Amino acid sequence: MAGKLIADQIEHSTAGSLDTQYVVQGSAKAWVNFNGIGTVAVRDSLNASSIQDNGTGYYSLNFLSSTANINYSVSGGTNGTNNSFPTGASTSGDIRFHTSNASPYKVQPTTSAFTITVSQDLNMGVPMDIEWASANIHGELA
Amino acid sequence: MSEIKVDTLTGKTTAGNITVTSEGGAATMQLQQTLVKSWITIEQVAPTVLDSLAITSIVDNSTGDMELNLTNNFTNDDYVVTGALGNDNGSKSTSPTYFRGHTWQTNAYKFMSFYSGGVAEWNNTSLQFVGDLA
Repeated sequence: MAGKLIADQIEHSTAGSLDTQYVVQGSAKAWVNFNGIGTVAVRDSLNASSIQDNGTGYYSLNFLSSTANINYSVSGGTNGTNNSFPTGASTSGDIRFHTSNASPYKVQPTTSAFTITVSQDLNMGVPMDIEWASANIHGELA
Repeated sequence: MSEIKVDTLTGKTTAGNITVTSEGGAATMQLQQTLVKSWITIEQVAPTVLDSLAITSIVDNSTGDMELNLTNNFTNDDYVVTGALGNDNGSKSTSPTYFRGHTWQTNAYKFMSFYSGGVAEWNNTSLQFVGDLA
């Protein structure tokens, strides 16, 4: 049987102490790295059941375990092509959350999914598929 | 209140697998996978590391082009990088700001930072890395 500790605080000999609530509440609850070009493919993830392609530059991320509410924190980023120095900013991806591909129209997140819209940086209204996109979720799980 | 005094947490059955229970008690997750593995806040204009975790060094390659060398290797190059760019405290920007990675390996990440479609350097650039460490 695996060992189990129930504790409210952990203390390191030199680095200080921390209430275990910060370990639980401060940990990422989901993250995903995916290829949004063609058939959407997840490269690596945590607590992500699937990525749904809703149209050009428009995706939904579905959770395996639901969040406790819809007020979770979402952050993200995009890459270009690996080992390919950018020739300009126009091919970059501006990433936004809780929007549709006809951004800025808002799409309410749910406890089991949220939406990602990627647009061209020089023409914010034009959605684009992107090869490397990432998202990271912090909040409370149910 | 209970308290554990310890320097290292290691899984009993599998060293790299410690399970934590969710806030609501409905789910369990592997602690190691949920942790941010590296983070950094950089002053890009006069390249300075303001604060960081598990970043060995930074290299200012050219305007808006920075390289971060990671202390601990990832198992692959599919890790997640998220971040934000900002001015000095008290100043504001009204145009789109963003970063984009252009070269990444298990132990290093290079990115460009932009402002309104052009390459730019920022006073407070923050990046976070999550994924699986080797």
